[in-house]
Amino acid sequence: MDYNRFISSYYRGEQKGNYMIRKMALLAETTPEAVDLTSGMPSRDTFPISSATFKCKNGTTLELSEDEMKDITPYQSSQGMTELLTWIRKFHEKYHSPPLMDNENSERRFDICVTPGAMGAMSVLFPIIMERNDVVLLEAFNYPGTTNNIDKVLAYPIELSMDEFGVKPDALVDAIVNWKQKTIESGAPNPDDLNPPKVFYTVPIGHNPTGIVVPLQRKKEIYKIAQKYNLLIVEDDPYFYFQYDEQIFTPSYQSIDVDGRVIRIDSMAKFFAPGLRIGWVTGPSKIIRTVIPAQVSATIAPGAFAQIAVLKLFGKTGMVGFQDRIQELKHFYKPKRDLSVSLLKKHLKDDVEWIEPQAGIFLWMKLKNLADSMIFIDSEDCRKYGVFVVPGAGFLVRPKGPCPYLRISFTRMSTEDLEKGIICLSQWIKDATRKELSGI
Amino acid sequence: MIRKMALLAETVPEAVDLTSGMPSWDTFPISSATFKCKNGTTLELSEDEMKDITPYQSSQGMTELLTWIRKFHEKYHSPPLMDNENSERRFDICVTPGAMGAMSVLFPIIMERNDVVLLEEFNYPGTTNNIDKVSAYPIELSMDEFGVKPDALVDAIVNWKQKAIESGAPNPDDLNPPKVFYTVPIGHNPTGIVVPLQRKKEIYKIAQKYNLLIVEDDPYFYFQYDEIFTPSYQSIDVDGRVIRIDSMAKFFAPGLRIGWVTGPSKIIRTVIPAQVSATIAPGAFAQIAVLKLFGKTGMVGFQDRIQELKNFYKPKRDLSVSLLKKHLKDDVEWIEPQAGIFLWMKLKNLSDSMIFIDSEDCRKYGVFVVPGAGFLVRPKGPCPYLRISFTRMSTEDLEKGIICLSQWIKDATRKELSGI
Repeated sequence: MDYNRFISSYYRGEQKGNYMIRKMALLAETTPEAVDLTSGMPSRDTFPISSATFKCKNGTTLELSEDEMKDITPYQSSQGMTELLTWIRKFHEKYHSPPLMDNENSERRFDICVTPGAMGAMSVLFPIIMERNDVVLLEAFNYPGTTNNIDKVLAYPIELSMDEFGVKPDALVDAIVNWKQKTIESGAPNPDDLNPPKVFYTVPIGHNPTGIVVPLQRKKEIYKIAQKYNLLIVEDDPYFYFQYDEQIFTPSYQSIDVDGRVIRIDSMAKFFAPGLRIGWVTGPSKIIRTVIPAQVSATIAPGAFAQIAVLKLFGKTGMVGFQDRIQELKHFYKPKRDLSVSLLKKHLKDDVEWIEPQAGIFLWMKLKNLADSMIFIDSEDCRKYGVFVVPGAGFLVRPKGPCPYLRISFTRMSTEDLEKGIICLSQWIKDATRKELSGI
Repeated sequence: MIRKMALLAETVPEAVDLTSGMPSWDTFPISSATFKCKNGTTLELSEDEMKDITPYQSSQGMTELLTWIRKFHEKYHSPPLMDNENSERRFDICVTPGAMGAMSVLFPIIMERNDVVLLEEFNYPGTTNNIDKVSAYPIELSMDEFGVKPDALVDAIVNWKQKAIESGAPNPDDLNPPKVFYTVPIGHNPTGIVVPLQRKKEIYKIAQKYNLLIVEDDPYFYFQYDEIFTPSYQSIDVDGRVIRIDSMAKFFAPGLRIGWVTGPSKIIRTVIPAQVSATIAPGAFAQIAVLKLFGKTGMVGFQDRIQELKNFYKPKRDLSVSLLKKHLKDDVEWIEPQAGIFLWMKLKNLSDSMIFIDSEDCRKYGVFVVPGAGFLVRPKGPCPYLRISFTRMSTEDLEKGIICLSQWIKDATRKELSGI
């Protein structure tokens, strides 16, 4: 793999985060008997908190000793705390067995950088792998945080049509081969300035908003295409651990990445708590080693308290605890998924089509008898019917006319509320359908 | 749209909210927390509070923290536009992951590709990085002992194109005239300079005349050593042209990543959504830690904290200066820092401080410093400056370090004089 093809011109030069202060400080760390007059780190003696205790719901306690508190209060390594990196490596060994885990090629070798959530990963990664005016390929519907980060670097997103297994391979090939035509068709203001696509971004498990899971077979097909046309695959996978199928645990793109073309983003938001802002990016070291200094000038490092909270939890419970956690989450969310689907069958089967989500926390529906789900943003109607959903237009890369899709989530509300919500939604849809049929 | 719907849903709590991808509170494993403080007090995080901090937070910051920040600014800056009826100019706040998190989100908003940006002649590289990232062009301004010289600022504004060419801009014809002046006016990193009120007023007048924004990055505002407290640019900002960055790093702990940006609401209201696609929000644990501390101790506690830090760092500043007088007065000139944690020196008898990056010599002499070249906007030939900090080491180590540095400089001077 020639990574220079993928690294944007700004990041191709000398690593921007390697300032002299840091170089000197790192050098000083290697000589502890010398006096370090380089760093603007405040004295540990001035930090007012000495220790902390966290009570867990299962009755156990997590302790942060005075020494550990001292360690986490200074500026942290931009790559993340060493212990946390060790844990992340273990998870990836177990759940992905990355083919390049210990590869002798130092550019392709598996590497890690902890980030402030998946969003923190995207906002630092995209400027590295996307150049202004690059075409970027992604699913037909997307979490707007993604499209925002593509817009920020002035790249041009082209969406790919999907079936029930994710992006269709022929749609991907078509978009790569006929990319210029696609940009013109989608209304690009400056098609002659655009560059051919080099990056394919995907949320392959519990896709937001469609809930689709890309099975291994389809992943292999997509990977082959990426190999043929030399694309990077950005695998953004926050729901990897939220798979509901009892028999099959669908593997990741990372697990089949023999070339080192997959950059994977993980997030502890849904797994642990979104408020913490902890995620990480893994993949070929050449790219990761560019992310680390880029993070320096974005946020310096992910929050230390957040890292230590995650670390304490993993440390206490270990790999067994991590597996237990996955089970616990499955036992919590799967019944809600099941209930949502049965409620749709009961109340909405004449009004919507849907895909049963095999992972994640979203349920995507298509209105059968109405053309446009934008009716659902009317705040008066929201209050009248007592339910809020997200119209599908909120997930489009660019406005595209009437959109008959909508997304609901089934994570937070009680079973009573879920039922109530779907009944209200059903009422709303039926009323709207009746109005449309009678021409109001 | 997801956020719009979610915000709308929040206003109708009796309705069922099916919009948000927020995981259930019931699955968060931690129920409560207790923090022991060094002064013997305890801070508690109850189950209810834990529930509040685990979801995705407001990108603007937690409401209680915003309330506290407002109180601080009322007390320490009395911003003229605190409650201004003009909603664009009115004082507003956004919490960020540290000052760096503020810069990396703010700069793309106020700097366009190819804009010239004016700043002090020496800078923390994180700043120049963030200017580079937006492909703006920094032009540095010469300083005296009170900061950027007013005539240097005017000269750079009026003759900006010429300055760009002189500094070697590859594309001077593509560049745009400057609209932003960035400054670290108290305990400047690396020079330690404090810009007194009088100089601030002169600079502000120039900013008014040429309609510039002033970005006031002020992490050492609370680390002033003089008995007279120098006010901020924000405190004289009658127009709403000052965007101020605060940081809890030195004040509290850098690992937390908590800072905030304040200024005219029109700008702040653009920072908030920009933060959504950068990091969504500052970390909740970090915000609550800061909040708990303020909450417990209140405004009095905050003042006590400022005193505590002064009592801790001022003697170190004094010691550093007296050690320089004792061991290095023939070899370096320096400015006595009136704030902050850095001491900036100029070599009298050597032209280039890059000798200090030699790792063998670092080990041999047993001391590490930062050569001034590390703070230049662009490489500029030999630089005779160097920076030390006096925050972390014991008084014995500080003394040892300066003695070793003195030895190194004297040896290097001798070598240079004897032509080696």
